[in-house]
Amino acid sequence: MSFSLIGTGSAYPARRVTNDELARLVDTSDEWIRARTGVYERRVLTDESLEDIACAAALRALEDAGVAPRELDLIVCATIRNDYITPSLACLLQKRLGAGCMSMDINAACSGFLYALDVADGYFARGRIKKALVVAAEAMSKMVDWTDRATCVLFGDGAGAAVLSEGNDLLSLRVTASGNAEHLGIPNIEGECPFSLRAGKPQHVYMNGQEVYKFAVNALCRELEAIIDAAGVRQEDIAFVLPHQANTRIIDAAAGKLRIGAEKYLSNIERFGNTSAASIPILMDECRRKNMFHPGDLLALSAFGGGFTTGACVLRWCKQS
Amino acid sequence: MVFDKVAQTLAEFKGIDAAGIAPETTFAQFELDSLDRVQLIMNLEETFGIQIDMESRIECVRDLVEIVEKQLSGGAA
Repeated sequence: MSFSLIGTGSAYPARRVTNDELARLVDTSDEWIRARTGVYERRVLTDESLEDIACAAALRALEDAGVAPRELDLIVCATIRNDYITPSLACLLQKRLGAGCMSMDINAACSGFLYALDVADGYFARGRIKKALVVAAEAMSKMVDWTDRATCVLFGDGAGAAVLSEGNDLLSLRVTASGNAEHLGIPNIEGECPFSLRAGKPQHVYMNGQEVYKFAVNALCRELEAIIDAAGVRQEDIAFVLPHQANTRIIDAAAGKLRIGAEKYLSNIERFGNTSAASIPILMDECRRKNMFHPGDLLALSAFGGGFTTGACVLRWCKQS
Repeated sequence: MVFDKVAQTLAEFKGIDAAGIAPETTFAQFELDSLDRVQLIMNLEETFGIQIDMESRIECVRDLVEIVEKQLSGGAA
């Protein structure tokens, strides 16, 4: 027994930050950012909390699914930085939604949503649950060096959610890791212990763009091929690809290597930037609300990110438009 | 010839005529940004079945040809 995806939701901060605004902060330009990344604007948390947007996304997904919070057996949140170290974002949502189920966070960076689906799949397979809420929510704006033009232009804040029920619409799923802190990471604060001998570092994203690009393109191609093959379908059978929204050029490079038409690769990076784990569920919800998906459509989701991690799956869409 | 294949790969990547590429043509003349450079290296790795160090000093096509030849002959690049 696996799962079917029966509801989606998303939410993001009200504040849009345009490329022109960033050009007033750092030495960059709208033209440079668009050409290099595909990003036109991104959303940034101001007076909202990460919990606020995660909860809004969750409520919309529950409404879409026709599921009440008290019916949930599991809440999994994918996030790399909650408003609290503890309690987890999932526990905060559990209280706020009025649910009563086990709740946990996971950190798999940009692959977090796929890792969270994998966690939920395990619980369904063991017959432990009937309904699960998976939320991916990120506050990247709180971890970016706003004086570094190489990174501050890339990221945005947002939350996406999915409600899962028992079913057999997950055709394949694969998550991987290849430990590497050299090319991509965010240090944590050291704290204030008077006995610590470790020097603190700023809690900022650092990234070797070229190495990460190479990893990302290879991962996107390799994992899409692998999960489509594992699903027992052909690349031509895939209705839509939902790639992690890290950079338009990564998606374009990978699309050129596979036998899936370029028009099938979905994207909204121009309006949201890289929202880490939230990017795929935000994209999925946006497309669901536009009635782009039809029952029986095969969706290929593929994410890659810090860790290094990857996560990919083939999901059969079961919801009516 | 390694140069011919390198030039062809470059030409396909930039959408230009390979006949206009010479060993002394500089990378600056191709107007490649850092992500273009990575993608080009990846294309060459795929074309020749080799691995190229991303940090390699590449200022002109000749440098690229030498790196590829060295890799093909079993040396590190």
